[in-house]
Amino acid sequence: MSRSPDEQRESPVESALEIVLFGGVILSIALFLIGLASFALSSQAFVLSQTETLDGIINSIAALSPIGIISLGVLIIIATPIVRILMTAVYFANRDKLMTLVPIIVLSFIVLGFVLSVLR
Amino acid sequence: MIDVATLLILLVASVFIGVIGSMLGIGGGIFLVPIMTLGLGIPISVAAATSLVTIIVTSSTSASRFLRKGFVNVKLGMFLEMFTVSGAIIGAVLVTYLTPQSIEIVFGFVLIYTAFYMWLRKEVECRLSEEDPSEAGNVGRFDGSISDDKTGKRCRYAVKNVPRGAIASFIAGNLSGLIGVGGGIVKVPVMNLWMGVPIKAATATSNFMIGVTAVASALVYLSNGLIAPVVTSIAAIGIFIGAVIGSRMMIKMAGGTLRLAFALTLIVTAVLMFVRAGGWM
Repeated sequence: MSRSPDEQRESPVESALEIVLFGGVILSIALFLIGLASFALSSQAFVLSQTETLDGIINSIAALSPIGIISLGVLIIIATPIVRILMTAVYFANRDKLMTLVPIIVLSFIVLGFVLSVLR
Repeated sequence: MIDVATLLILLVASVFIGVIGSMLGIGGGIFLVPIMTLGLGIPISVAAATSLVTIIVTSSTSASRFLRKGFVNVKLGMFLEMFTVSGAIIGAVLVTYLTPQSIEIVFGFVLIYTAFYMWLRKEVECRLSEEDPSEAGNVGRFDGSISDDKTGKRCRYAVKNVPRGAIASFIAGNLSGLIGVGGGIVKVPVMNLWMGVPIKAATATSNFMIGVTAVASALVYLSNGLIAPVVTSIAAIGIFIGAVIGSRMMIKMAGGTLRLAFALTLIVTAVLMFVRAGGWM
């Protein structure tokens, strides 16, 4: 695909990041649309703000129910920035020590926050 | 049974918030949460969880577009998000011990001051790479480049005051953990006014960062069973449409117009802060 002269990137990692971020969103949106269409076609009633536990989400995904398809989309969108962080760590390894360390620290903080919330 | 009008209001509001969020590099939770709670009667915990997931949608959609255009300063964004995420976690812990009302009032006044400062101060100037190659090279680790509004050519900018920007990013994260607002709304002015990042690069880089801060909190909501998949999916679809429109608008917009739009959004956010502190929202 040709690009205009102003569409220049600082490094090749930006190209990969663009694909991961947009790919994650498109996949999630597609799953949301499929899930909502399945709901509309089925006779199942649902409450707009009905919450799901993590176990409920996993079970509904396994059952491939409409709510499971939507939930899979939610999990993919939440995972997208995490994949982006991992990719930058891998890219900068052996290229830039600080920029390899930064995503690892960010990921550690995210895990720490998650663990703290579970423990509280 | 779901009311069609409710779905339409949520969808249209989400599109609008997606446009604003994508253009300005802010999450938009300050707008989406009251619409969902006050307008549609959705519980606050569900609205907050939905808002976090939609911030990831805004961030991923816009950042991918801005990465293509070369607007995002990846290294600066990665570096600052380290401080924002750590600040957000500490803020979430501190929230138990502090009263959000007083923070909201102080933050509201800071936003008003920043809005006027942003409105009156001249936009960052960057050097065209072709005009002065000797000065155009990267001298700092975080220096970047962006296409010039007038000529369309790449121009380089030097990033200044990195330690001050890092502290401000930590406070931005802290505020988002304490009062649910403060990611992009703090980081964009900090990058633009303090660090010498042109407004377009600042909003694009903020968009790149806000998704990561939102993930940290979204995982907590997910583990606590507070994610409502249906309402989240509808808001996310609206936000996606809005973010596609908003990112295209931002690319074509003049830097001065974008700064003015941001300054106005700061004023609106400040008013919402006062309304919240007063207990009217």
